[in-house]
Amino acid sequence: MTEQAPIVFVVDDDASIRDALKSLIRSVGLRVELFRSPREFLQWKLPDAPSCLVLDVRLPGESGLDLQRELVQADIHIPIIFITGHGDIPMSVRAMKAGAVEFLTKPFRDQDLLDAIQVALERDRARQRRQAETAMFRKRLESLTPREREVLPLVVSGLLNKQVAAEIGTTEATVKVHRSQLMKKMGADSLPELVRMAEKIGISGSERQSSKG
Amino acid sequence: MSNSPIGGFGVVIATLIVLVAAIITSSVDRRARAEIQRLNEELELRVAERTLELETVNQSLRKQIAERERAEDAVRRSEEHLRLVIDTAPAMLHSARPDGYLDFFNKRWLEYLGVPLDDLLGWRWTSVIHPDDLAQLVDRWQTSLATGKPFDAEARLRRADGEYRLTLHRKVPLRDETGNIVKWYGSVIDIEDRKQAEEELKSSEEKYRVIVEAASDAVISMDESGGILFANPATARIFGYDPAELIGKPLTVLMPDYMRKLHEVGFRRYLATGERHLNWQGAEVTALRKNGQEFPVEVSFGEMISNGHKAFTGFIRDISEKKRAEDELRKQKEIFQKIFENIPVIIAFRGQDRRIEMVNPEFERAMGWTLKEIRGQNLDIYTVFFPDPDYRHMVLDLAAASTGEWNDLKVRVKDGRVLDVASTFVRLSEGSTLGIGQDVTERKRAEAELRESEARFRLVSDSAPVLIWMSRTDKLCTYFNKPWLDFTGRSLDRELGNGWAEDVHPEDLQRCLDTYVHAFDRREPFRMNYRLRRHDGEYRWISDIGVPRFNPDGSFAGYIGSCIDVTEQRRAEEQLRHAQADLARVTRMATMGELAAAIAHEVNQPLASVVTYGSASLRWLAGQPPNLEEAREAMERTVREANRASDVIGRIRALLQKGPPQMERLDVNAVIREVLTLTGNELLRGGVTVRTELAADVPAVLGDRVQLQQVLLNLILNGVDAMNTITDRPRDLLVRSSKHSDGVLIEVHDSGAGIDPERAVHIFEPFFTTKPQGTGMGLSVGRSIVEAHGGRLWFTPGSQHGVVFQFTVPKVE
Repeated sequence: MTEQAPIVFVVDDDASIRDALKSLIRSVGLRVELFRSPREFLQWKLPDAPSCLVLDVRLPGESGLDLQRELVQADIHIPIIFITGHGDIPMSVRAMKAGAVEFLTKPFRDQDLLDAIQVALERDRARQRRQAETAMFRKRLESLTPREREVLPLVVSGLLNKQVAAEIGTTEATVKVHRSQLMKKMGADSLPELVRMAEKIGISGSERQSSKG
Repeated sequence: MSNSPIGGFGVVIATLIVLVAAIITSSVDRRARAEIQRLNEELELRVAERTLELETVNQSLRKQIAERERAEDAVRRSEEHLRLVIDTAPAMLHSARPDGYLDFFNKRWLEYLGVPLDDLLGWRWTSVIHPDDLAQLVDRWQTSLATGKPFDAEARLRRADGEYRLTLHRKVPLRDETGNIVKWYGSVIDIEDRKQAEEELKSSEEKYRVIVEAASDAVISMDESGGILFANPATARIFGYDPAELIGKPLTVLMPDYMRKLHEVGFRRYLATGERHLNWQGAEVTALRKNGQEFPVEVSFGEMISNGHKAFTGFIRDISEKKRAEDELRKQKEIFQKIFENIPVIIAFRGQDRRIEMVNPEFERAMGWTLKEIRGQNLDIYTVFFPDPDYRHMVLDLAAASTGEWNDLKVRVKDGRVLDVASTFVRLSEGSTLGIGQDVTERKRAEAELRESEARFRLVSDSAPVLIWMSRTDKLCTYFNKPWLDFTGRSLDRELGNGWAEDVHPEDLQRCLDTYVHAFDRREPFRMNYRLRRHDGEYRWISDIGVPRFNPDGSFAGYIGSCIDVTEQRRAEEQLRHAQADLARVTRMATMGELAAAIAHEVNQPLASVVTYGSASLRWLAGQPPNLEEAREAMERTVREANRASDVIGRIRALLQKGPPQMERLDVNAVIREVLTLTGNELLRGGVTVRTELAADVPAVLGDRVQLQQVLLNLILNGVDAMNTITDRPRDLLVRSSKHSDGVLIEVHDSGAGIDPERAVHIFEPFFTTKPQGTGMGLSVGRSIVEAHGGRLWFTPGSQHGVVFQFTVPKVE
């Protein structure tokens, strides 16, 4: 899969600021989309391309921080760079804690913003990569038989074949067959690799134990 | 018949009878001279009747003659006797042959004429006839001879004494059994006296007839039955009836119904008893005209007896006019009597002897003496009316002069009080006098009171520390009090009318007159300030309050106004205004301090754009190749944003500027928008959503832009602060403008917690604040700004939450 051109989203109610940002960001060859309000932005379908959001903290109605919280809750993990007319420390701490890439005070140095945008886009690329991997692992998981899916958490929790056989009431030889089958289906070369995959898609031995216990 | 002795005898008898009859007839004639005409006719009739009778008698006599032959001798004696009778008869008798030859005249005849028989026989008698009458007499006689009809004529005869006398000649024929005339017998009567009497009577009757017909009164005769016999022409005029149509009608047609019975009863009683129910020499009764109209008449009656019958003649006079005149007189008398009795004027009447004869009830009321007490008093009573001798003499002189001139006299009345009486003395033509007076004591007292009241008014007016003027209904001034005149240093004469206007400052005069005239025409009170020149030449500010004056009857009388010198007050007000303006500015600066963060943001925003555009343009230029187009656009934007920052700073500077308020026409909505621009970030920071409802039809107001912005700014920031702690509902701020009866109403609604009633009473007090950093001057100054603009600032609780602050600004007149 080839990477699409990255997009920078700008949400600011001040038209001149929006236009100034557009000019600046376009000058480094990035695509820019401008929004006057969080609402307008939320109506936009996010692309597969790496993207980031330049967000004014103070907006009429919903504030930038509100939008950040909303996006997190909606499991949308677009990297955010906050800009503000007069940011105070509590506000910036709050924003950074919630995962903001940067918190810039107007007027900011152009390089600071552009650096922040690069960092954000890189972060988004990485995130997208992770997401693609996880999606692949999930797809592989779906190809497992119910018995193999039953065996998987037990294997990744570190149990020996004999222990697994006892757990699910079968023979060690059968467990051995299941184990080699699911390793093959999941594309794992080694047990540690399988464990990493299982973690990515949210399957862990401890989970099983807690549900068991 | 003449052939037989019997026949000859019969003729003698008949002749005798005829003669006797003629004599009797003559005697009857004489006796009833007054009815001569009628009796003449009767006579003729009787002659004719007798003639017929005679013929009857003749025939019966012939039968009897034979039986009487034996008595011939006696008869012959009788014949002798008859001849004697005929000759001695007082009538003039004669006879004629059938051919007209007169063959016999009796002795009386011959004596009357004084002519011997021979001069009369045959046709010789014609010599005694008046030549003028002869022809017709002879003619008639020949006609009678030819026709055999009785002869009847009048002619004048020459009497023995030579006087021609009118005589009546009659001859009737005597016929035999075959009807042939055998003889004519005649008589002559001297009717000269009778004729003269007739003439006299006729003349007398004519006289009465003329009187009766010419009479202006109605003359009506009636008989015993009450039927009208005669009515004169005046009857037509008075009663409307033609006299002829009344003849035979009952007299009662001339009376109204209710009189008829009375008349009939009275009249019958009179006929029966001779008792009269009316005075016949003039009684007033009511009569009835043909057209039904009733009217008063005066009637006199006369009674006469004719042929044994009573006849009554009434003279009826129409007295309507007289009655009317009498009524009129009575009415006038009554009018004067009623006036005399009821007029609230004292009237006393003195006769020629100067004694009081009559006083009217008003005299009795006002003076206290009754007519009874005062009647007969001479001028000595004046010692009572006017005790002071000199005064009394003056009054006596007036009374003596009786010129009709009015004088106010002081009169002492019965109970000792002294009245003011407006009096006059009038002399009547016959020498008596009327004293006429009106009690004006009350009026005098009222006048004195009025004078005193006016004097009091002038005293108060002149000693009051205000300038007072008065004007009439024509707007011209008629009065200025002493303080006014002292103030302007001018005389009353110069100020009267419109003279005062010369003292008014030329710049103020037109406005001053406009206000006055405008209020005057509407009868409205007015208040105006203008500069009035003081005696030292300095123009002083005057506050003039004018109110319309009304007479006791409610009619408009003009205006009265009072003025005070408000120069010092105005100076103080001016200083206060300056102080307020300074305070407002200081407060504004404090408010601006509160706004510092917002202001910083407001400036920072364009500054951020400037920096960003600048950086961007540098980057466009640094590209390979440089993008000049993008760079140029970014530079342009840089400039624009720098200007924007400059504008913001200018606005802030304006708000902090020191200077007097500048009143100008303002669009309130524009002012609101400017303030919202300034506070936008503050609102944003406070998490407040602003809504505006600005009416498009608000009128322009007269105000100081900065000060009104200050008021709004303050209200908006207060609203934001009030909603600081609100977390359970939106922090909404609504700013509205709308048309108001005063001009424009501006409202700021917040959705905060509202105002604690205990604090509400203090919120407009200076230095009262609920905010840690507040100066406590915001609302206090805001209110004084609004009031200085002529508006009001107040607050009410919000419909659900919070408070609504609102203020009005008057529109530009």
